[in-house]
Formats: sequence, C-alpha cells, structure tokens
Amino acid sequence: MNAIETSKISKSYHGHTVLDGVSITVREGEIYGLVGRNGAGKTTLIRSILGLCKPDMGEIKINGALGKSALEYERSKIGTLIDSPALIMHLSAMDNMKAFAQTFGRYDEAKLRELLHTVGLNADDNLKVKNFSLGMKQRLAIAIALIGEPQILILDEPVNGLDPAGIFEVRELLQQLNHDKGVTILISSHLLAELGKLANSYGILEKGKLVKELRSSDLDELCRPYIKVVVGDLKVALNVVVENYHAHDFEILPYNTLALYDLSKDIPTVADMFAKANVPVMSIYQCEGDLESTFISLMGGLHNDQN
Amino acid sequence: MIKTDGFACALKADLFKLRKMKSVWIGLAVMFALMLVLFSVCWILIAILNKMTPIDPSEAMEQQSTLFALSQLCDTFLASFSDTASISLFIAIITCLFVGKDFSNGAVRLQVARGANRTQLFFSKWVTLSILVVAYSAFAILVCGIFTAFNGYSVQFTAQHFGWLVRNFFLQVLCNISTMSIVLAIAYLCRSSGASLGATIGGAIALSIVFGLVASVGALGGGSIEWINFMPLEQTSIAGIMDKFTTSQLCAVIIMPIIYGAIAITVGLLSFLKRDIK
Repeated sequence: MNAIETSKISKSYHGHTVLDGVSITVREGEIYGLVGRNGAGKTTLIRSILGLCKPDMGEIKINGALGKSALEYERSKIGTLIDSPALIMHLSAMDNMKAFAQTFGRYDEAKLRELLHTVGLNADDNLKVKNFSLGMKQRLAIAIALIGEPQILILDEPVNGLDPAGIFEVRELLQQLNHDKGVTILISSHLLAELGKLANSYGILEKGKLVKELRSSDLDELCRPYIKVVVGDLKVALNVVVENYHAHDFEILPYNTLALYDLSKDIPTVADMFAKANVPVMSIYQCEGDLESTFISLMGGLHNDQN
Repeated sequence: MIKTDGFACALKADLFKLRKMKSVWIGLAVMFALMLVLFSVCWILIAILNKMTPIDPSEAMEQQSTLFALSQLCDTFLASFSDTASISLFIAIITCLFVGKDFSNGAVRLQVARGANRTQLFFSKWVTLSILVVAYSAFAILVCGIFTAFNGYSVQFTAQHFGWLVRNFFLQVLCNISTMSIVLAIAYLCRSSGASLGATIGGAIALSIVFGLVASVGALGGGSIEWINFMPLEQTSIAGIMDKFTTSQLCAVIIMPIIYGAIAITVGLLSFLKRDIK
C-alpha cells in the first residue's frame, strides 16, 4: 500500500509556477528522500501534502484516503517538522510537549518525558525554549513530531543546525523508527550524502518538476566506481573500447571523456590499450561512486539558478 | 489510533497556553493598579474635603455637592467597570499576541499539518479569549465593587441598582467579546503580533477621530448624535449607564455587538480557511 501518493500536483504563486504536475509515490515503510536545489519545490510539495497550501491542480492521497475530512483524519497520524521548528518560545521543553500533545489529543506525560529523553533533552529543565541553541530547538521539534507515535513522518530539513553527533543521532533514531516500528518517512534535505545514508527511495525535483524517481538500488548503480579517461581523439578511443576492450558498460562524458564502468582491467592495462592504438591519453584515474555528484548530475548539473 | 475531538483538544491546548502567557497576568496586575489609582484619587479628594471646615453655608453646600459628585464618580467607576479597568485595551493586546505568536512560531502550521480542522482551531481561540473576557470582567467588577464599598454608594443601593449592575456586567461582556472578535479577525488577517497590534491601534484611533469630528460637526449643526451609538466599538459606554435604557440604546447595546462580532468572526474565519499557511 502507498502511504503517500500525489498525482499531477501543480501550484503557482503570482504567476510563478512552483510545482508543475508532480507525482510521487511513497510506499508504506520506506524512507523517501526529496532532493532538489533551493526553490525546486520540495517545501511546497510537503506543504501541499500536509494541507498547508492548496494545490491549483492535482490530487493527494494519504494511506489511500482522499477528500478533505478523510485527509484531515489521516494527517492526524503524521508527525511533521517543516521549515524552522514550530515551538512556543516562552515555554519550557516539557510545556511545549504538553501544549502540542493536548492539541493533538495525545497527552501522556510519561511518554512525553520518554520522547524528550530519546532526543537528549531533560524534561525537568525549566529553561525556556527562547534560550535554547538551534540544535536543542531542532531536537525538541523532532520530539514534538514524534508525539502520538505517528505512522508517517514528514520532515523538511530535520538536521538543520545539528552538529555531526546530532546528525548521527537523528539518523540513528529515524532508521530505528523505520526499522522497528515500520514508520514511513518522507524527508527532504540539502545534505545529499546524509540523505543517501538514510533513504531507500528518492524523488528528484528541479524547477517544480519531478525529474526522476529512483530506488536506492538504482542510485547504487549510478554511483558505482569507474575509470575516467580523458582522451585526445574520442572517435578512435570509442573504437578501441568496443573492439579491443569489449566493453559495453561505458558512458561518454563531456570534454572527450569516457567513463568505463567495467573494472576487470586495471588502470595500467587500460592506458596500455590506448597507447597501442595511438590514442593520446591526457589523464586517467579511478573515480569512486559519489552520491552528491550523482544527485547534482540528475538535477541537471551545476548551473546558475538564474539560467 | 483513536479519532479525537479536535475542538476539545485545541481548546485545552489554547487554555494551557493562555494560562502560561505572562501578558495575561501582567494585564490583570495593571488593571488592578489602574482601578486602585482611579479610586484612590477619589478617596484622597473626599478625605481632604471632609477635613476642610466651611466658612459659610454657601461653601458648605458647595463642599457637599463636590463630595456627592466624587461619590457619584466612584459609582460610575463601578457601573462602567470595563472602561475603568480598560479591559478592551488589554483584551486587544492579548488577542494580538496570542494569535500572532501562534502564527509566527509555527504552532498553527504544525496543528494544521497534523490534521486539525481550521474552523475548530479558529473557534477554539475565540472561545479561549471569550473566557478571558469573562474572567477579566468578573475580576474588574469585583475589585470595583469592593473599592466602591469602602466609601459607600452615593445613594441607597437598591435591588434596582443591583439589577442594572448585573445587566451592565453581561452587556459589557458582550461588547468586549465583540471588540475581541474584531481584533481576532484583524489578527487572523495580519498573522503577526506586531502587524495586528499596529492595525488595531491605528484603526481604533482613526475611528475615534472620525466619529469625534463627525459628531462635533453634527452637534454644532443641531443634529442628533445618537447614531454614534451604533458605530463599531462605541457600545461599551452605553453599557455603563445605571438607568433604564431607551429603545435606541437597548438596540445599540444588544444588536450591534452581535452584528459586529458576527461580521468579524466571518471575516477572520474565511481568511484562515482560504489562505495558505506559511
């Protein structure tokens, strides 16, 4: 069953299209990572799913439910953290937990204390939230998102402001929730490497459109190591690769560059092969699978947002 | 998971947040101080006048009439307890802070994202603030009542006076709930404490200047200024009269707050329902 399904969601603000026919499918029990540069439409998509903004077109289903009241009911089972942490600054951490738990109808003091403990905050600390560090606020927001043992978690940039240890702890917590309790997680993050360690499905957004939806196995395939060769004559080099190297698993990159994914031959052998065919080799080296570069290339490469 | 009563939950949370708001308690303290200052001035003047020995019978008569006027002023403080304690001012400030903060700190966003019904959230705030109006009014009439009792009522306090006081209490609560509804609508339109406070204060000043000017011009021309009783935020003063109301006053003090309150609630609710939450 699909936990979240959007179908051709479109949204524009003052004539500027923010989402353009986005359809994503988040299966029950998976961790779905939303990837995209600033302004790609990640937050608007999340806000549409959560009912904070009304899409101009398209349909949203949560746990198969459709329609205003059915969606409101399903949303009550979702834990969420959107943009900056939603916190009541003049209250302590525990009072914040109490206030939100009352609103959600999930008031259980023992469980609230346990949740604060889980995210590393002290329930008996009377320090007001306005005096918290950014990391502490983020932890509290995560604890609030976990009130009522939600079956779906929707998190927009959940590790913003956390130190490396905090990021690790949040990742562990989310993986534990997903693994032990089968919690479905939809997460967006700018930290692509971090997302790569967590998610098992990805949706790549670019300029309001879903560029690609892929599973972690697809990503592994895209991220595998390869030998990168910059040659003087690409046509001859291609002949050599196909005829002599018998390789079919390669890719032509810009600037006379070849990516050879077949690693059965080492770099000296490949260099020797090109030398024998009189193909000038400018550089040759092995590249490790790089998640960030893969994501960036899927998002259309590095370019100025204005272009 | 059990489906919960969204309105009851939101109301519980709002009451909890209101109780934890410092401004609510500061407002109460300042209200008390205001009432104490006003009554103290009267008490001091009465004490000074009582100590003075009149030289001739005409001065004695003048002294007695001043004493009676001061005593009547204390009665007016009790009858218009809402204006004496400036309840509408404190309610307006707290409404702006209460709603604006929930928008700016993301609490509304989080509640809606967790499936809370927007209509229920709006009415939960309205009920919470109405409870505050009743609590503030009860506090103000109690304090004014105790302070008036120190000096005694200017005339024999009869059952009729008591009846008028009870009537005035309910009418002033109604007027203040109407005022609160207007400010609540402004707060839902502005969605920030500062902007809604600015808009409320600016609007109130603009209205009072316009009504004042038009009424002055009308009075100079010999026209009636009774229409002013039907304008927004102008009913609280009528609800402080310790006498039998005319039909026009009765209509203004009962129907107009309900009409203005209903319009404000509709505008505020529609603004909350139709606009995206940032």
